[in-house]
Amino acid sequence: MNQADELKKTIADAIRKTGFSTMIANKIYTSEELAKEVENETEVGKKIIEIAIRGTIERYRRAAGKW
Amino acid sequence: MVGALSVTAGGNNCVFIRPVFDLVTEVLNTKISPEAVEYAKLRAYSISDLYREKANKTELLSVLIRFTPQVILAYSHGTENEIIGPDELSTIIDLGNTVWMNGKIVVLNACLCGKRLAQALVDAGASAVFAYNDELMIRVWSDTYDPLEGFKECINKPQVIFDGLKAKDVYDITIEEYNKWIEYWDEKDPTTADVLRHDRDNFALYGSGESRITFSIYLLIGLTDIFIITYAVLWTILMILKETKFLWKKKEEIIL
Repeated sequence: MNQADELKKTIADAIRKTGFSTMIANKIYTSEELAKEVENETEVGKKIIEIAIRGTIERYRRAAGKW
Repeated sequence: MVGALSVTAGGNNCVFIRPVFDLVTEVLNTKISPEAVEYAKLRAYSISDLYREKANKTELLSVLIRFTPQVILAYSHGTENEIIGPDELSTIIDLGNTVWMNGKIVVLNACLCGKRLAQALVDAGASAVFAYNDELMIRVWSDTYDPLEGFKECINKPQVIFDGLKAKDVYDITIEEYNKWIEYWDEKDPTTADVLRHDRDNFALYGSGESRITFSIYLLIGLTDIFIITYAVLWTILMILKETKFLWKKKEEIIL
């Protein structure tokens, strides 16, 4: 498994774990549907990956005291 | 007096645009926006609630003509150019009626409106516009569709505009609210924190940060009316008590 696939799987697993649904545009995604979007790298999936990366960067920045 | 009071209502009117035409707008307008409506009501604003099928252009124009609302809050689907409602095929605010918002503070709780519509509203004379530059994402409980803690609070936070704050302060307070909940969710579920982060980063203020709701002269007239009515009622009660004092005394003697 390459790093990109590993990243997708990690994010999809995190989404599945909590079981929350997410309203994006005019649809409510169940956790399973959203995880699938991430794994299949659809437009919505790509956006979720992007916000997960940005969130991780912010968490690291805060941990490093740069926030 | 009644006339003055009704003018007061008009001078402090605010408009809520709350269509319901699918599951997302139902969640938005049965579980999120009612809190903001209540917030305005508690602060003595008169509400023009364009709810469900009433969220259409005709009703909006009618309200704008009859009253002089200072604030308009919309909760619906949006695109770069429009706010959708009362059904998925119609628009209630779009690039064609931006001038209707002249001189008003507008809050657009919808996807993508920050990309183009918000600036168009400002160009047409809106004093300040709050909008999201990308999709507004909301996480909900899977069984009830109730929003997770923090989402309702953040989306509704611009309601502090009803407290007379400047638009720039409202923006700062909203970002602070987002940060508070992001920190909360970072501990519990980072994915939810990331969704809030996305909403926070796309929340924007257009127009003048100095804009605020002005204290209407009509409200002063209304308060004066209320004071006079209260004084008159209390004075009447006092007079009745005074005039019937002998009756009370007689009763006491009989009892003794």
